[in-house]
Amino acid sequence: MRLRREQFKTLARERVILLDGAMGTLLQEKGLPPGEPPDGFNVYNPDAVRAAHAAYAAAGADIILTNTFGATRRRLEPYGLASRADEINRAAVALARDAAGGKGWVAGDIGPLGEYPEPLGTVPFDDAYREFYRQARVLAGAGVDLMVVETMSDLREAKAAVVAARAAFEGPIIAFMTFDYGGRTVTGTPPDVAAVTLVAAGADAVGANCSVGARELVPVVRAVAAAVDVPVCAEPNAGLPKLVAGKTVFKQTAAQFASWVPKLVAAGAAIVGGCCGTTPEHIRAAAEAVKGVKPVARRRAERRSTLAGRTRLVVVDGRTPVIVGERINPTGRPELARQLARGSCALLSREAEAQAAAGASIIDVNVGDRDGAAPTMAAAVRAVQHVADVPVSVDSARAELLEAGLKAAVGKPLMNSCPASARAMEGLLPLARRWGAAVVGLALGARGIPATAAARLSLVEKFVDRALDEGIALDDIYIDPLMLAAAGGTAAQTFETLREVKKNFGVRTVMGVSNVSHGLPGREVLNAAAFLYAAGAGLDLAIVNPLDERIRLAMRAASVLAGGEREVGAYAAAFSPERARRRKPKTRKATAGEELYGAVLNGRPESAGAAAARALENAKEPLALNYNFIVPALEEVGRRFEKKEYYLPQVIKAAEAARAAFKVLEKAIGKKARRPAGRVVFATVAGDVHDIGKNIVAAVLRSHGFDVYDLGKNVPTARVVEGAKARKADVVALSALMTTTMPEMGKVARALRERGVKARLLIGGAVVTETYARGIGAAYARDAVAAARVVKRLVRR
Amino acid sequence: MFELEVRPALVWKYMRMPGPAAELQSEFDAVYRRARAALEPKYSYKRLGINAARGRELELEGGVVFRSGDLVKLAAGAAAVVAMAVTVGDRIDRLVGEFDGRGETFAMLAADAVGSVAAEELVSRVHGSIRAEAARAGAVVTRRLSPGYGDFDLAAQKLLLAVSGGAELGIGLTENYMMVPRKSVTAVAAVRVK
Repeated sequence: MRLRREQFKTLARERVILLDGAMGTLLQEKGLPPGEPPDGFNVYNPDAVRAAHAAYAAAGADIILTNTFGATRRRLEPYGLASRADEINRAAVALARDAAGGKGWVAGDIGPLGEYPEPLGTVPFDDAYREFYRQARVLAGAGVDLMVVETMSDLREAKAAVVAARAAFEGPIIAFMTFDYGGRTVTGTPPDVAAVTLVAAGADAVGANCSVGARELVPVVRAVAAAVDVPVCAEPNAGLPKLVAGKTVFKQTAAQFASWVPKLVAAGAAIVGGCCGTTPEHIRAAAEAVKGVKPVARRRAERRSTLAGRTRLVVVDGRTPVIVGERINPTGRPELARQLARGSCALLSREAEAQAAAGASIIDVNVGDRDGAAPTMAAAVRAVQHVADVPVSVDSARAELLEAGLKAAVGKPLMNSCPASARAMEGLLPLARRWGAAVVGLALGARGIPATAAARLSLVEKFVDRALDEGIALDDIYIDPLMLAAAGGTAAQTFETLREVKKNFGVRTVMGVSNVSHGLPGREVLNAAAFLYAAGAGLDLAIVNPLDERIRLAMRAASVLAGGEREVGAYAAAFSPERARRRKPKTRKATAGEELYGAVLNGRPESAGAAAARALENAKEPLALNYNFIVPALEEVGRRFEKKEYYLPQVIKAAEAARAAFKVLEKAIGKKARRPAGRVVFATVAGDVHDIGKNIVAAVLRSHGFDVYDLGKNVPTARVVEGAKARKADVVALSALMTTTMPEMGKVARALRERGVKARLLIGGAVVTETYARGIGAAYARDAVAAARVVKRLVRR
Repeated sequence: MFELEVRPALVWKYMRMPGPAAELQSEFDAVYRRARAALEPKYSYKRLGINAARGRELELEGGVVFRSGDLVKLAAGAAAVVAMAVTVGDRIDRLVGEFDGRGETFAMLAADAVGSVAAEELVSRVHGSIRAEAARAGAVVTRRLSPGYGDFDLAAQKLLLAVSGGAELGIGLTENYMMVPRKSVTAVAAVRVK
């Protein structure tokens, strides 16, 4: 009998379930040539695969993963095996089943495609989905008990795989993402966001595998366990990888590995296995270690609903309304409508950025329900999440637009909306479930919006029942009682509906507040009052204009009225005289200095130059413009880079903008009067002709006010030494890209010492490591932002 | 010659950006167009029979010997190898230098990334075409291995350029075995009969 989803979750609450360990290395021991796909062995050397599975089954693994990590057609294609993908997947299930021998479960294993879906990668999302769906369907047809999606580092790819697996398979799905040393995926997603998104997409257990060892996974497991209620799983490597003679090796012994397993369980894991470097010995030791150990009971004190972007989790806890930015809607906005009609997202991106900066935690995206607007919706959702990285509310009345937006969204979006008519619910609710979205139900039936609260509540009841039947969690159902223009006299019925929904249905609520003021003067006043009124009636999500100052004040007031001491403190601080002085009134035009700050932060060289010129007109001390605006902007750029909100091109554009501003300042004060932050002599070492990295670091350092003397590439040691002496360098910065040229850095270090050059040495480049730098007595920087930080430190010394 | 597809999404990735940045898109587009026009893709490959494999040595027809345990492993059970060389030319290098000289660092980075993506795309296309050709003859071509990876020493570049025909394409080497034009790739793949 097949394993059912609820049965699996119950089992994982009662005992620790053990997965198997690494496969590729076992197969290489059995003759798999390096570079060949292990999956091909399912048909070329089935005995080897069966034996590897049997070793894990004998070691005590409860779940054997099929040898199909790379068995999508896309991954097998380069080896000429794409046409045999189905056969390889079917054979894999039979081999795992043979080896499990009726004692354990067989899980169909699905790994990443090797290339991210768009926009981070190049694979169209639909192609990625199709690849995963085809593999999952074959594995399901061959009789797997569970499905495992693993080693995913892009949230959108992971979601495509889980949604595809859910479409093809009714049983339990375990989903793993892989997190690096900082506890995030390489694309910046933290564990709680990954967990929430993948559970919404249909996973029954979520967790982390690969990349790091168990020690590093403990906090990741803890974060996942705190974010979702489903079982948590962990598959660490056998410690951290080490590079020995050009090969990656894992040195953690079975006993060392097993000693960490109870710690993973204590952190919340109920399903544990091994990834790279683990062997049947590791799994045997882990089985011993969990004997008699029960998974920890996980109960959350209060209910909460969640939505997610790529890196940001929004928790809806019912205390005060969460703000949904309403401004991306072409109704009554001709310029936005024109841009959307010709496929431009420029204005929309600016609106998204401004609303997020003003406090919108979610952004509603409505591109107008035109025929053929589905691609526009997809592009709009991508653009919004690119600039704002918040969850989106995909807003349309048309199924094709909703589906396009939900597919394009990264994380867990809100589907806005579905009327409570039978036809609409039948067509739209499956979209929300399928694409892992929370859903907005409207108090709107086939005959329109009822006038009375009682009639609206009857529709709400129908909607909630139908959504629950569809498999949508209660925490993911939001009801919109539908605010109409107060001029029509129906506002009281809407608030009554809101209160009753909150009291009787256990769902969340959402409302477009600004509708209340249509057709009346003093709209901002009415909107703010309606916001507070709705907050008191239990509104969870308020769709409002966060740029409206009155709404912002109302938000603050609502948080005080609903909150505790902390909110009171924050409110008082917001109105303190000092803060009031610094606060920028909405109507005040930004000063030239503030514009300079913004132009550098946003990487706009022309605006930065112009703003610097304007700022100079009133500046008593021109250099103060540097310390007050340019340096703080660059520091903020550095912070955003560290947090993976900014990437290299944005750092470079900020540097270009700062340089443009500097040029203007230099003209005003004269080059000689300027005191540089330090003198840095740059060179790519002898024999090396790659200078892109060096040029980037040099540009960033220039923007930080250093005088940079670039000696170029392929620079002999003697010239570096001469350059350092002639320029009285504080720091000599060297780059090398190749292992063959890196030793030149050691030669330069020696020559500088021998010639008595006092300058500190900084090195970097693709092959350079911190260990190597220490070995030659140099400082090390891994990227341009780090280089600016390190050089400042070296100069201070 | 292949019609090279230089995917902008991949170029952004080479620029260390997870996806296109809306605020930089128009500048990116302008650089992309110029860099794309500067590409001069050329390639060459030769099939060489394997005479013998001894320890870390792979001896090919004509007495050509490569020393690399990883290459020997890659060629296990193979009858021949294919040595390939590709380049997208030096105009792209000059364009990168031109941007750098003007202090246009973003444009420099973008143009350099276009060159890198183009060179990778070209070698993948050549590799794919060799694979397709082999498949028609009932053979399988392995993944490719380039000097500098694993224990395949960079010093093998010189010999590899000579046997692949890369030298005739105008690809030269510095004394530290770096290729000039910079956006060039050499590699070896093994050919196994199914």
